[in-house]
Amino acid sequence: MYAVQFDGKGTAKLVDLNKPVLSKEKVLIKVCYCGICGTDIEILQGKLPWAKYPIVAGHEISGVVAEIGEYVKGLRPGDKVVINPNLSCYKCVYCLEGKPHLCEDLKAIGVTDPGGFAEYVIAKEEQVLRLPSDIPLDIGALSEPVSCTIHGVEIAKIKLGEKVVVHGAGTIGLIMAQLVRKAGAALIIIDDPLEKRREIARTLGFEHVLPKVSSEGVKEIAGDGVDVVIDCSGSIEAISASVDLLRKGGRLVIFGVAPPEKTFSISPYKLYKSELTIIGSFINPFTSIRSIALLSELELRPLITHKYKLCKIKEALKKHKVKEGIKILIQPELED
Amino acid sequence: MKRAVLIAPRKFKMEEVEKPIPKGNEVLIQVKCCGICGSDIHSYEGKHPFVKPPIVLGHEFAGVVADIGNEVERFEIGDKVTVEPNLPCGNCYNCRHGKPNICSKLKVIGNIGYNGAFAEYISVPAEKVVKLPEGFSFEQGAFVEPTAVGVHAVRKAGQRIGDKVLILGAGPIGLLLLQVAKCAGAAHVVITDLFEWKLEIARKLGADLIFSPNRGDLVEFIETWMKKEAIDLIYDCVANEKTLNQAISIARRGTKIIIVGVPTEKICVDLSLVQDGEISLEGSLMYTHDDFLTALEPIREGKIEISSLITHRFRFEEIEDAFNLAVASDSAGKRLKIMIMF
Repeated sequence: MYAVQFDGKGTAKLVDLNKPVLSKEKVLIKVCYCGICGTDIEILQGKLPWAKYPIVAGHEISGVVAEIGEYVKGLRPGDKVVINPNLSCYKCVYCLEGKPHLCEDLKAIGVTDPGGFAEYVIAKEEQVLRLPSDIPLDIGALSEPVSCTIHGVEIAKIKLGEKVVVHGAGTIGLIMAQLVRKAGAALIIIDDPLEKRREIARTLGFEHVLPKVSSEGVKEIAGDGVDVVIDCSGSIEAISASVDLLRKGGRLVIFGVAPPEKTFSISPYKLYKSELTIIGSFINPFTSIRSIALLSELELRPLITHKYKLCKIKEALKKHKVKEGIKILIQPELED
Repeated sequence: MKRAVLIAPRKFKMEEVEKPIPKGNEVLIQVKCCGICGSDIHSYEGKHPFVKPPIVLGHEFAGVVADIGNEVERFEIGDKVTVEPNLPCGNCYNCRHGKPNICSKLKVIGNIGYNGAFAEYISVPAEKVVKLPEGFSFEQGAFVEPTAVGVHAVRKAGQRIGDKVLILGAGPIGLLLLQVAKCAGAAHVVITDLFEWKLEIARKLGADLIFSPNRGDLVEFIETWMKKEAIDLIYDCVANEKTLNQAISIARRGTKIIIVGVPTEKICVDLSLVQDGEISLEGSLMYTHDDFLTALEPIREGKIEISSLITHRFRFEEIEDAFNLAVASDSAGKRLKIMIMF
């Protein structure tokens, strides 16, 4: 089968690999769509410390079950499915503490194991979720980012009536803002430097969409500040400025992936006096089932801006890098 | 001014009294409308454990500021307002620990220890008065209170986005809670009631599945239309022996049942299921000030629709007729909120 391998030095190469061999507890899936995520770019450039090279990347996968192993009971060939790429060991101390996403031996399809930029992919039955018949497969490919974003909203502990700033109007920011709205926030402010993205945010019904949010700007709209800032940009500049947007008791959630070597400074006095919380949100523990339930309730169609065949992945990656699209999907058929 | 005093079970006396003069920190409100709540009905029938006549009932109301005490700064005569009717003592353990709704000496306007709004005018402490946003009707104002009950229940439950929830009972509280649960991101709401007519309203207000126990077994219904163990959270807005046992038999292990309805009897349940399944039975009472304010915005935005919940309107002079209708068994399937208009 054809697949695209990343070498961690900036090269994506179309290769011909053996079709993966099914074991008894696994499922072979014919990939229909696989989204390009910011993490894929980091993997491509060798900037994701836990990736294993060379790797077939791609972890936002939808497809159709092609074959099932002997022990698989809940799925049948032909089922429309999506994949939760993450797999915990269920043996380490974090797994045993009920935090499987912080697993010491975390594996992920498209990061440590072969991913969805390929004609076929293999997953354990527990990672495969059936897609309702009324959800198209391209929308299904967004269930992974939706599941991560649900975790972000939970980490943020958004309550009915709260005021929230979302930094960044890419795929994650636009899903996050919709989920925050869904969770009953009374006021949402989105900022992104790109006008194209702000335009999409406005078409999704968001009123307060700015190039860059300042503490004065927030005070004008939200009085004494917002309850929560969720960074979906990974920008150190945006993160550094966030603390001043919060009202007392406020929470800053680090969701976007900042460069690992970058740091930012903060006044501990301010954290102390205003009882601020800064907390990270990593992947998608316990949210996959709910992500499927929410797919039909979110406006995801406007986020899918481009679709490319597998052989055109270099073009697609370039498009992603220059931020011309929002969500770019790869279709593993080879013909153009 | 006129006020309707409940002087004995099922007996109102329309009294003519002096219009109250607001004390320093009080606001005098000319009442424009006041809903009849389930607890008013319990009180009317003499079945409320804590309410004793003589009392003026009525705590779901809105009106216009008619006068203010000399210390009041936030309000002007003519402001359209509603009132948060709970009066916590501010001094007991729970009041000092951020839970004034379960104050051990809780007074409630129109309910316990303070005369209510089935009166042409009422004077209340300014900190309990909430201005209605632009464009709010008085009836919407009167619905802030029962909506806040829903807000508190959803917050207390820790409802998560994408949750599939079950609401037992499609009376006014169940129908408001349905809408609040959707506002808080429920992906799927199942609601039950004995009366199909109420369920049709629930469907119009966004319920995904409706069920009447007259049709068969709820557990089977949920397994057929959803999945075994699909329900993440249950709100019991009826709280009788049948509904609570239904809830316990449906609750997935490790989930919560929030008791929002007011039980009027002692209830026998299978506690072994509660213990073995780590099921949490949690009460939810009234609301905090923050819950009350939070209820305003979704009503203003129209995410919470109240007009289809008002089935009857009576003039204040007809209050006896209104309460007679509220307790009549033959109208149980046809009434939701009965509103008294001034």
